[in-house]
Amino acid sequence: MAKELERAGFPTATVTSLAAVAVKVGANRIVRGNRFSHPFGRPELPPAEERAWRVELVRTALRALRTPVEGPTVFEPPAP
Amino acid sequence: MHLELAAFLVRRARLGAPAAYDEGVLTIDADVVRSLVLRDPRIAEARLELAHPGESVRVLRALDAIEPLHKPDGPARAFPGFLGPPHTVGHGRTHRLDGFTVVQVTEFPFPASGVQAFEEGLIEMSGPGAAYSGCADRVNLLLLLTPGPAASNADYDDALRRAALRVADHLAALTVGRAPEHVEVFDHGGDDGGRRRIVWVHQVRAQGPMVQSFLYGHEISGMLPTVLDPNELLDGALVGGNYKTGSKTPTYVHTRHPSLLALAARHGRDLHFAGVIVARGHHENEFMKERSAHFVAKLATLLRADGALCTYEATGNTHIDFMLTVQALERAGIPTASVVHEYGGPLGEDPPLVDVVPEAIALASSGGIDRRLTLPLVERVIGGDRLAHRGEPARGPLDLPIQELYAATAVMNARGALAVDY
Amino acid sequence: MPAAPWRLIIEMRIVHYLNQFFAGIGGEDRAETPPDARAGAVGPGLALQQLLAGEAEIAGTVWCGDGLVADGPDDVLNAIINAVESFAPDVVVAGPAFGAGRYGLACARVCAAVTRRLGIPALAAMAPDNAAVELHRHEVLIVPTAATAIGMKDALAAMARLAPRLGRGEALGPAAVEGYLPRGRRMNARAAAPASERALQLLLARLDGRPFASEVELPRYERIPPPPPVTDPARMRLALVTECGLVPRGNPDRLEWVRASKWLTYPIDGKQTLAPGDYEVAHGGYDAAFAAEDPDRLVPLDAVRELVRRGEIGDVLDAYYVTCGNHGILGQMATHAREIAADLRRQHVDSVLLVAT
Repeated sequence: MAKELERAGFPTATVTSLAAVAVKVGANRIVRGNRFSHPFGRPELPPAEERAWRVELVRTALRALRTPVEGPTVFEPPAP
Repeated sequence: MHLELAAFLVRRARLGAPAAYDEGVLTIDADVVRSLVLRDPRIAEARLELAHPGESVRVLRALDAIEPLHKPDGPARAFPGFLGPPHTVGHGRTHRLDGFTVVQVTEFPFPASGVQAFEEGLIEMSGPGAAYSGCADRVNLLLLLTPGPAASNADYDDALRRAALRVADHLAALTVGRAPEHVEVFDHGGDDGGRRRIVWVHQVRAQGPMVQSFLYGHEISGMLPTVLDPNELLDGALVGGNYKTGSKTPTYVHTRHPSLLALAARHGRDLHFAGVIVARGHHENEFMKERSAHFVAKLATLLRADGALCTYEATGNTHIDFMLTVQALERAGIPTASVVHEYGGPLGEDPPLVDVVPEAIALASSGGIDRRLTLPLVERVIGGDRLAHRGEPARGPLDLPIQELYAATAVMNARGALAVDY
Repeated sequence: MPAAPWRLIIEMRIVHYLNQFFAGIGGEDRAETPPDARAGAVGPGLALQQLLAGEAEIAGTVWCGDGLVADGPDDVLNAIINAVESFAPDVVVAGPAFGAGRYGLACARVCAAVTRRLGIPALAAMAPDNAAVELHRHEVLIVPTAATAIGMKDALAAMARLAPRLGRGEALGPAAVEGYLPRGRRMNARAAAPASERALQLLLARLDGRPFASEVELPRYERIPPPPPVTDPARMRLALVTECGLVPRGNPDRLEWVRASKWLTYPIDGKQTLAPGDYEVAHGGYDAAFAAEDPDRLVPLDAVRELVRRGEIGDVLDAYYVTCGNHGILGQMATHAREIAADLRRQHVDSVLLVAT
C-alpha cells in the first residue's frame, strides 16, 4: 500500500513492527512500530507513559515525512 | 607480458641473525628490520612480533598486510611507485614469500572522527574467528610502530606504508639464490584463439585518508577506470590503504586476488583473460558513479569482452557504484557475474543486499558479514590491551559481528564462504 | 536399510493433521466441521504410513473444517492442539494442502502452535505460492508440493523423508539440500571454491546458454522513487490510513477478515481519541486484545490530535481509511491503495501516516 500511495506522490510514513519486510517490499519512509498487533501501543507502560511514547512515535513519523530519502529508510523511534 | 612468479613458502618465521630464508623457515633480523623502518623519521619506534596460524593470539590495530615480493633481476621493482619508479611491472621474474605477511600495527598520532576514525583491525589467529579473519592462515610479521613527528595522520600513514614495503622487499630478497617451492607462469597475451574474452572488473575503494587504495604509488580518488594486465597486480601495482576492518582489501589480497587466480587458471583453456579494469568505488554522488560505471562498460567494450567477472571492495555506498557498473555492462551487451557479500542482520533474516539492479541476475555470495561470533579468551593480545572503540578488555571473550574481523569480506570470498537459505 | 542386530520396539509416533475434505467428512459445505480425531492413519495418511514403514507410525489423525481454523477463534486451535497432544507424538505433519489457501493456513497455524506450545517439531506441505507460505514460512517448516492433488505422491514422499528426521531431533541442512521452503534465514556455509570462482562459473554458464542459479535471489519488488519530503509538517494536511482492519464496532460494512475486497473510511471529526468499545478489529492475522483495550494503539488519533494542538501537525483529515491486509492479494491491495490515493487527492491531503500490521 505504501508504494502505491508514494507512486501517487504522497510522502508516506509507514509505521510497522516489520521494518525489515517493509524494506524488502520497498516502502521508502519506514518507522519502526512496536508490535504487529499494536504498533502504536506499549501495554506494559502506565497509560500516561504509553501515551507520551505514542506521541514520540508520531513525531518520528513526522521526522520521516520531512526527511529526504533515496530509498527504503528505517526511522527508529526514541527508546521508551 | 610474461611473468614468472617463484613461490617460497614460509612455514615458520623466527627472530634471529643473520636474516635468511631456508627450507620454509624465515629468519628475521630485528635490527635490520628496525633500521629499515626507522630510516623514516616520521616513525619513532618499531618492535617486532610474530604470529603463526593456530596460536592463541589476537592482533589489534592491524593496518595493511603485505605478502613480500622482490624482483631479483631488476631494473623493475615490485610495488612500483613506492619502491621504484612508476614504471610498468608484470614481466620478468618475481620472488614471493608465499603464506607470509608483513603487517603494520599502530595507532595514529592525531585524533580523528567519521570515516577517518581509526578502526580496530582485529586479526584472530585461532578459534572460530580465524575462519573469517584475514592473515589467520598466514605467518605474520607484525611491525609495532610508534609515531614520530609526523605532520598529520595521513603523513604518518604514508611513512608506515613505505616502511612496511621496504621491509617486505628486504625479506623477499632473502630468497635470491634459493630454489623456489614452485614457479607459476602468467602470460595472458597473444591471440584469444576464439575463446571467450573475459575481463575482471576490480572495483576498489577510495574515500580519502584511511580508506584508500594506491595504483603505482598514487591514491586513486581522481582516477577514471583504467585497464591493467593481470600481471601488474601480481607484481604489486595495487597497494591497499583501506583500514575499514572488515571490508578492506589488504595488499596481499590485491596481489593474489581469487578473481585473478580463477581467471588465470582457465586462461587459454576455456576462456581468454582479456584484462583487468580497475575502477574506483565510493564516488561522492550519483553523477560520478554513473560516469565511472559507463567508463568501465566502454573499456570492456574496447577490450572486446564477451563477459565480465565483477568484484568490489567494501560496503554500503560502494555497493551502489558497483551495481551501476553491473547495469552499465549489461546494457552494453556484456553479460556479468558478480561476487557480493551479504548483510542480513545477525540472524540472516533481513535483506541481504543494500541495493540491487534488475540486471544483477548472476551473483555469487561470499557469505553474511552481520552474523555474530564469540571469540574466546586468548593467551596473547598484540597491539593493545583494550578494544579501541568499545574499551573492552581485548583478551576476551568477545562477541562481535564477522565484519569486525580483519578483511573479512575479502577472505570469505577466497575461502569459499557463502550464505544459503535455511 | 542395513540389517540391525536388534529392532526398536518403540517406534516414532506421528500425528497427522488433515482438513474435513481429506478426512472424508465433506467439502466446502462442511468447512465448519469442528475438531475431531481418531487413532491411526486416515485418507492420505494411509499412503504416508506405507512410506514411513519401519521408521514411524501414524499414531493418530486430527482434522477440522478449514473455515474454523483459518480465521476462527483460538479455542478451535486449542482443541486441535489438545487432540494432537493426546497422541503423544514425536513429530506432527500437516497436509499436503497443495494450493488450497485456507487449508494451507490451517496446516501452518497448527504446525506453528504445535511447535510453540508443545515444543514438538512439525512439518506442513503445500504449494510454494500458497498464501500461507509467505505468512508462516518463518516459523513453520514447509515442504513444497504441486498446486493440486495430482502431486500427492511426491508430497507424501517429501513428508516421509523429513518427518522422521525431525522426530529424531535432527537439525536440517540448507533448504535447497533438504528440499523444504526457505524460512527466510540465510546462514553461512562453506563451498569448495572461492566466490570468485563460483561467479566465474555462473558467467561461463551464462555465456554458454546453460542454466545457472544465482546464489542471491533478487528482491521481486519494484522500487518506487520516494516522493519529496513535506517542507513543513505544521502546515500539512495529514491522512491516517491503515490496513489493520480497525472498524467501528459490529463491523457495519462487513470488511472481510482475510483478502479484503474493499476499503472504507470512517469519520473521526470531533473525536480526540478512539474509545475502547467503539471499535473492533477485522483482521484474521493477529491478536486484537491490545487494540481492543485502546484502539489508539493501532491508529494513534490521540497522539495526532495532541500534536495538532501543539502546532506540530497542520491538520488531520476528518476520516481515516481502512482495509485489511491479512492475506492481501498484492494486486488487490494495490488497487485499494490507488483508489484511496485518488480520494486523498480530492481531499487535498499532503501526506500519509500508514499503519501496517
